[in-house]
Amino acid sequence: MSKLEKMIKEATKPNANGTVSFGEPALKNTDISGLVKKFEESQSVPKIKFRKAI
Amino acid sequence: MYGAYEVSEHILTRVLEYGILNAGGEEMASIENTENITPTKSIRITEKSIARNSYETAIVYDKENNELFRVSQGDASAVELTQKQWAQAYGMTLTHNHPFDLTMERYGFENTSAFSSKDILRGMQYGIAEMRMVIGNERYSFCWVTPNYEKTIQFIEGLQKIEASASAVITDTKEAVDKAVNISINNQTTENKNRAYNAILEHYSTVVTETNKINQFIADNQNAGYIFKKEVL
Repeated sequence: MSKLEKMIKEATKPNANGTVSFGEPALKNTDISGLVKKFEESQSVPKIKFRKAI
Repeated sequence: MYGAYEVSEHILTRVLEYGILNAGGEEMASIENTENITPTKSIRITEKSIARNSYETAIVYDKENNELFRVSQGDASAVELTQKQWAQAYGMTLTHNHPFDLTMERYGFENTSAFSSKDILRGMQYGIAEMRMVIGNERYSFCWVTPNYEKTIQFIEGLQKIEASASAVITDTKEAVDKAVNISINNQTTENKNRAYNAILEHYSTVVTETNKINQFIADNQNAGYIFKKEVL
């Protein structure tokens, strides 16, 4: 098997359901929206300390 | 011309047979001398309509630019095509979007992206005449013209290395954001808040820089036998 053929075989490896994926960006781990949300929520909501009712 | 590698010759010849352009010989045609690869208005409108979606859609057009089918199933950053659909896409134009990041835009950064080495290999294997990708205000086009075996291998290996290195850098900046955000939540000082904010900016800035590096590498290696273009959407 040639080097290029190996590369192609790896890239076109079928999923469990027999489909072949397409469209993955070169960089997949760029999304930090969850962390940003966590950060923004922590900044916008003041921490309220509740006192026990006497 | 491709006699030295039997199996790959078959793959490459299929691409050549259905390639929309033929530069002829092993020399690449200059970009200026190639035909216009900007698509018809209907494709441009469709591409614009998916360019800001947070999930991916892939659309296949026939040689007369009629839509053959579209696929949106898969995870957020990929779609899944059946073998039948890949067969239908043979010799056709395949366009798609990469997921748009609204948060990144909100922090003042233009969304940008790059073709993956895997997709470039898939395009070759399934004889896609032209592979297109849009995100935000950008449109990218990639098509094999006269693939050179050795240079194609060098190109893919080089691209895989750049992808891995960029991915490692991005993982680092992401971890830095995670750490800074957690510190700012646990100890809400102005200094910690600024650190977290700056870590977010640093991450997005790095994403742009690393993506540009990948695109520059693709642009610089067209002597492997493909044409790569970036346009404003």
